[in-house]
Amino acid sequence: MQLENNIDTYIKFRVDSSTLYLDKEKAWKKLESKRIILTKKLYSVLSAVAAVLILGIIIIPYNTTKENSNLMSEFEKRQKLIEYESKISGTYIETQICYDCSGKFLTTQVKQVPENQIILNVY
Amino acid sequence: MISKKDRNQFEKDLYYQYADYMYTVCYRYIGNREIAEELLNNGFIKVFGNFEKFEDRGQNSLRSWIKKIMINECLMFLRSKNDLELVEIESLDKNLYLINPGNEIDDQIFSLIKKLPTGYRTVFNLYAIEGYSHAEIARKLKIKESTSRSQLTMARKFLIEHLIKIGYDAIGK
Repeated sequence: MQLENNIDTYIKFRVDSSTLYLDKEKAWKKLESKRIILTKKLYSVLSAVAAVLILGIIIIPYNTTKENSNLMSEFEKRQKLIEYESKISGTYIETQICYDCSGKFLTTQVKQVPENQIILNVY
Repeated sequence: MISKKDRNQFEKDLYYQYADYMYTVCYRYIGNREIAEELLNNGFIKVFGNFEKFEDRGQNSLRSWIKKIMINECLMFLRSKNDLELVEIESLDKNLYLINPGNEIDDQIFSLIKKLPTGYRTVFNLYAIEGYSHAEIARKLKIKESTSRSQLTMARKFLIEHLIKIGYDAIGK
């Protein structure tokens, strides 16, 4: 056989007919312990993800609601004060309460408007 | 529904049936027994985890499927080590006898493949033994097709020179 022309075939033939032997009992034990470590790691990652999700689902909306109710009560106090002031000064007020798409309270706008144009906008 | 015990036994049987062959495949790419064993086990963990995805297409399809996973595992390892760079043709000759000294494997053919620089060995394995095209090799190794061709040419040159040096007939016996 001309080696230069058949090197691929020759090496493939030699490789296919040769096998290296492994201590399978020992190697299998290593595989099993590696799998246990990987499973533990996976569980700890999943627990961390679950913890983050729980925080996201329960605690953050709770805080947002609390924050919104605080802002609302502040807004109501402020509105009453302005209504009271407007009665004294003889002018009227327009109030706007702004929320974002998720329902989070953003801001309030309160402004005095000319007489006979009482507007109460709630968005 | 297969029980956990049966599943474990099946996985063990599969491992015992294919471990030697797959270990040989990994060794051909890596040239180090310990790393080859580690990659073999990583590969089998993937085999067990993805066994539901295996499609039986007849004779040897399971072996081919497992082998593909093993080869990918080896290529991922080599890429992570940045070990696939092309050795310049000029610098090859002086490095021929310095690569992987002290080989403990008796079989001369593995000893010879192990002596190839990593890039040459990988391309030679993929092209000559696995039967991939240069385009496929280029995609797998993220190199140019021309680089794959030149690596193969140099690998062949290296192997022929060494086979002649150690006595081509002797290795065949």
